[in-house]
Amino acid sequence: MPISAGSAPGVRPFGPLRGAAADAARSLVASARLAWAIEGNWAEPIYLAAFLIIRPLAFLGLFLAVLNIGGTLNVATIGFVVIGQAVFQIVSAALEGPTHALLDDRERYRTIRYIFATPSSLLPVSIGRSLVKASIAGFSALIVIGAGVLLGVPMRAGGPDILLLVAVLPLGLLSVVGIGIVLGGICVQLRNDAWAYPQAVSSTVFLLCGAIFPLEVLPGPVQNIAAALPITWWIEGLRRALLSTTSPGMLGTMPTNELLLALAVGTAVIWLIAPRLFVMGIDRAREKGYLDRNTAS
Amino acid sequence: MSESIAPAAVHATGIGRVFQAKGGPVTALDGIDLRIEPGELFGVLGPNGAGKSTLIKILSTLLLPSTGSASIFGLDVVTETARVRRIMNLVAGGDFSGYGLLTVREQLAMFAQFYGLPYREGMAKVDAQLASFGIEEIRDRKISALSTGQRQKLNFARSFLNDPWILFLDEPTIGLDVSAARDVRDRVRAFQAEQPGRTVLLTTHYMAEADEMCDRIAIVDHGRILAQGTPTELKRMVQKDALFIVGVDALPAAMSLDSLRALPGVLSVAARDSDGSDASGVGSPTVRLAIGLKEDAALGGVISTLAASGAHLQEIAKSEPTLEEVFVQLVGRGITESDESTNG
Repeated sequence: MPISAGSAPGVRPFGPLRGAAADAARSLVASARLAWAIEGNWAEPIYLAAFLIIRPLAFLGLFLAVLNIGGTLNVATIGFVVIGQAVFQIVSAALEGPTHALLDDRERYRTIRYIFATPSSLLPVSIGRSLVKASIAGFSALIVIGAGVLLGVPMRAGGPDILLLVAVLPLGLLSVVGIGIVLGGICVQLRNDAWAYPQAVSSTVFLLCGAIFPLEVLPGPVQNIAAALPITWWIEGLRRALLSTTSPGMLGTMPTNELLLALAVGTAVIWLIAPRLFVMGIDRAREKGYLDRNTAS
Repeated sequence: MSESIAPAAVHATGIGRVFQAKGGPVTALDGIDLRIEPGELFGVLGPNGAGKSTLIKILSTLLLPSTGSASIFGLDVVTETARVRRIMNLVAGGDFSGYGLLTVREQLAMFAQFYGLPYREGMAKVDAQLASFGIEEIRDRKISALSTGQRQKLNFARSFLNDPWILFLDEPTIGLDVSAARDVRDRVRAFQAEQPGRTVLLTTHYMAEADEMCDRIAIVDHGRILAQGTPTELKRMVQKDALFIVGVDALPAAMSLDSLRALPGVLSVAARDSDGSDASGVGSPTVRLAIGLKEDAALGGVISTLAASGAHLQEIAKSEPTLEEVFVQLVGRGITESDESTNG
């Protein structure tokens, strides 16, 4: 390509994709490969087991012990908690993923300046990293569900409701990744201690979204917040797709088509605003000079 | 009829940058005006904290300016970032960036994707750059196992993947040993020679590196450009006249230094012994004459006069000030002192 004004190279196609979509798809695939190399490269199998198997099972045991002490432990509540705990493995990974990817690249690998200075947007790069983290967390979710089956959780006769599963799973995953990229856009504007913020948000969402107890346990106004979270309906949708029991309270009484609508609308709203908020956050970090410097130093 | 003007590789006007710090605003850049033509290797020379890196960050779209505007080959670095990023690349020295778990080839392949290269083309370029930098044998080595020099070669290999029109080099040889630094400088020169118009903006505080590599240099301090020009032009700022050292075996007794001083274009003549100490010169064995001239062409008359008087010429050398002397005159202190005061 000769060097002359107006002859700057354009975007190369990526399969059938052209323009910005090709760039985004290429970046997403490259960052997903990177995330797989980072997240899947466990030097010690014992650490892998501790993180992916022992940790979620330990939390499940803790919640079941608390319910047992409270005298509310039965197969229905075990099923309720097992699915909530299983799905939340994915939720927390996807919520924290984009922030951790950005902060890792800035503070630990110190590559963010070189990635930011490519034609790729940090948005697909963060999404790709987050999706792989969520997928690996999916393994933990399966372990927790498997433990639930061993504990006698009443699964649906004839297997999962595949149609509902296919409808709910991608929508819910999209919604948490969307919230995750908003968090990433906020945290990249902050200094090194921003690591803790997505975890705080994740823990709060865990309490709000009906993962381990019915929404009626929450104070009235907080119930409205919980009902507005697509994650709440994602977890409930997965319960309906997998379990034969009905969830207690408003979670169980919501018709499935309305549940799907709430999940779809919530996800759509998140994706209407999330990319913009992310880009605004990156622009603000660029303005402050936080994109390429190690803020701990 | 409108005249078409080719855009500069870099055109910056009034670039300023203020950082908000706990102790109050800190001005990193204060009204930088810069024009770099395509094909130039332009150096920005200054001590730590002078604003060199901030300037590169703004031009490479990593940072927004507080004031002013800048363009790369006519593309605005604030509003046309996606297009700017297709034609530029960046290498910073002294950092330990990289994904330690990836191999050299994996990391380069990933960046080839980020640069928008189709997979096969990207891998072909990766392998070509590995060969070009002589690091094929470490292609499957993890980044975490690389030496500083190998990491920097990898960094350069990455920066060449997208065939940039302009390469921003921020202290690229810092921390490298002499051999690795020379390799890097040679590769940068080769990169420019491969295609006319490729431009390099290099920041450094190594005087010799700037002097050796750069077509033009800007000396910056406290966020301002104090002077810019070719190395020769900058040196002329501290020594406006040409100074030659002429060594002769001895000056004949009949020869007078005043006869040399009277020649057209000669401004001054001083004689020194071979050990450099002042001497009358006349009658002494092995004399070195420091001759100040209005212009180089006046040297011919001096040589003719010396030869006609029977003196035997042993050496002729042009004496030039160093960039260090230029820096001291402009900044008021040496670059090492500047670094110490900045760091301290």
